[in-house]
Amino acid sequence: MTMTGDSAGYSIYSAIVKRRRTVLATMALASLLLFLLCVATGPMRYSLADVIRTVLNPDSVSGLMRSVIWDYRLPEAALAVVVGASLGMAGAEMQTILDNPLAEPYTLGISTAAAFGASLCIVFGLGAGILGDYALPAVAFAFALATCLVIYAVARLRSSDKQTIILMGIAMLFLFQSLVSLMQVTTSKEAASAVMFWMFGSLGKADWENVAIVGTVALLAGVLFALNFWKLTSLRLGDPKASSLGVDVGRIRRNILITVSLLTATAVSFTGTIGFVGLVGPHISRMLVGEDQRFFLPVSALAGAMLLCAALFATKAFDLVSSLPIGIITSLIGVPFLIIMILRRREATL
Amino acid sequence: MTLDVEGLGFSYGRREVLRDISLSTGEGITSLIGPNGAGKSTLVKCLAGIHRPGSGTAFFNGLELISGKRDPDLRVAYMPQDQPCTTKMTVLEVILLGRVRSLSIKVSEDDMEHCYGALEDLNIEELAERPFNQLSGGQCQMVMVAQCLASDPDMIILDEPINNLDLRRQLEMFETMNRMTKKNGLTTLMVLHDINLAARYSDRLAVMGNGRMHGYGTPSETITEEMLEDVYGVKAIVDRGRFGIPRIEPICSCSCRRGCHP
Repeated sequence: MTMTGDSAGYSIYSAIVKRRRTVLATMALASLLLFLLCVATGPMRYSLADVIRTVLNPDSVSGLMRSVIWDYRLPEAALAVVVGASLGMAGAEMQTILDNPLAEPYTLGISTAAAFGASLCIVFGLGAGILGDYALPAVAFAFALATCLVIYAVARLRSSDKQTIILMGIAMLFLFQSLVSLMQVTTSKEAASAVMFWMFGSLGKADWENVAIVGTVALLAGVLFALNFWKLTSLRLGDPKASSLGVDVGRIRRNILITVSLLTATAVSFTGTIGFVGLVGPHISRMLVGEDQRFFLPVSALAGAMLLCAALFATKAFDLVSSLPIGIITSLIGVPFLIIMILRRREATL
Repeated sequence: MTLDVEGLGFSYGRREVLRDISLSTGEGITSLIGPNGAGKSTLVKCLAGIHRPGSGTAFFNGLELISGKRDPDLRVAYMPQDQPCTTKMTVLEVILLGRVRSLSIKVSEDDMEHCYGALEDLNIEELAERPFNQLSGGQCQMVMVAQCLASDPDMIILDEPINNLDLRRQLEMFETMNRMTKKNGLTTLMVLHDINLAARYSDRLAVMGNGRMHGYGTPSETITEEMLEDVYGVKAIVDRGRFGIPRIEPICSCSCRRGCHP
């Protein structure tokens, strides 16, 4: 092998990595700023300085401000961050393992299965006697997980073939969509509108416990993804090439599918189905930092978190809290943003 | 460095594709030749760990090659016949993935030097920063060969490596593979369709037909008019050139009814 003395390859590569690190750092700062803006905005508006002071030194501010910020605003904004990041990561890895840019948690029917579980709870009160307030997220989670296991079981019969996973996912999506619609047309108007409201997603029931649960699952999933960064990146070269590089393609696809399902099920069980974030987050990431998972995954998570924070900020800034669920706002913000990104897409990635 | 295959069999469902394949070859370039559907690509997929054969054994230097039982110390680089060129990663990143087993979260200077060195070996270093999905079919193929070289392999398997290359690139590819194979003591296995190029650049040829091994030996030993008629169904004249390298001149297929062969 020829070895060059001037490290030509390393300097080219270092320049690419440096640009990506800059994007990552900028995204992290922008996410933090959006997070603080979400906390500052609401019926009672605070300055960013007030918010930072309350976060760093709660005793230095009035009891009302402390309560508003620590008990309502911070958990709500934090839930937006962890759910957005979870959906961004879930979409990124779903697109990676299925080699399909249209894949996201919604594609495999996982979110819709959660919606069906939630509607069973809303319409029939399933699990309410035993689980109380946690019945709805628990039943939604159970259905999402069960759907993932069904997809996994069928895919396993075909060596975890990605086409089988996608087709099974689409079948599940249509099945649960039909079941939810069936329940909506056969139940009372109030229950039907409650189901519909849940399906559009909401951060209204945020508390620190929800944030801790979703955040912990996101962190654990992130660690698992990070342990497989290079293997996941090599899947972009196709299954045969990845296999020849020593990657157990079937095994990694199964493990990531189950992790993504857990991640999605946990996130949507507390907020309802928030579509689009899992689709657009990875696309923004891919345009900014390419397909190296070391950058693609964290930037997808940050893009997801920013989208949901931006949606939350918009609902608060324009006083839309009571009238529009957050899932609608994410699409309204995300679609034009995605179109601008597509039109301004540079020929080369960073 | 020896590759030993014994009694290998493989089926796609009920369709038997490989039957009792045995092959023993060593350092240098061995080319697999044979008509379409002979099982050449399936055989190399079995050796690359992509397919798991239904029967038989395969060892490289005494280490198990078969998927599922494969020795983790084995360094076998494989270039598939139909490599998708859809990723937006830069060429340098694609080549880096050849070293996926040894990469840590931070890429070392040594890793990157091997990758860039492989590009230089193939005279394509100008492609380093180009997105992979913007390359031509031939460039894509050259990059995948560079990826194989960058992985520091003991054995390289190339499935139809010159398919999309122009004449100059074809010769450059063979010259590089010849040089690298000799320099690093590699065992290189290539699937080729061009019999004349295979004869010129290979140390040994393995002839396959209908899922079986028909012959193995030096180009002079294997390329005969009888073999071409039996395996390919082609009437041809085999000419021995100045250096004794066989060169075929096809006349017509055996099914030709016009009597155009002499």
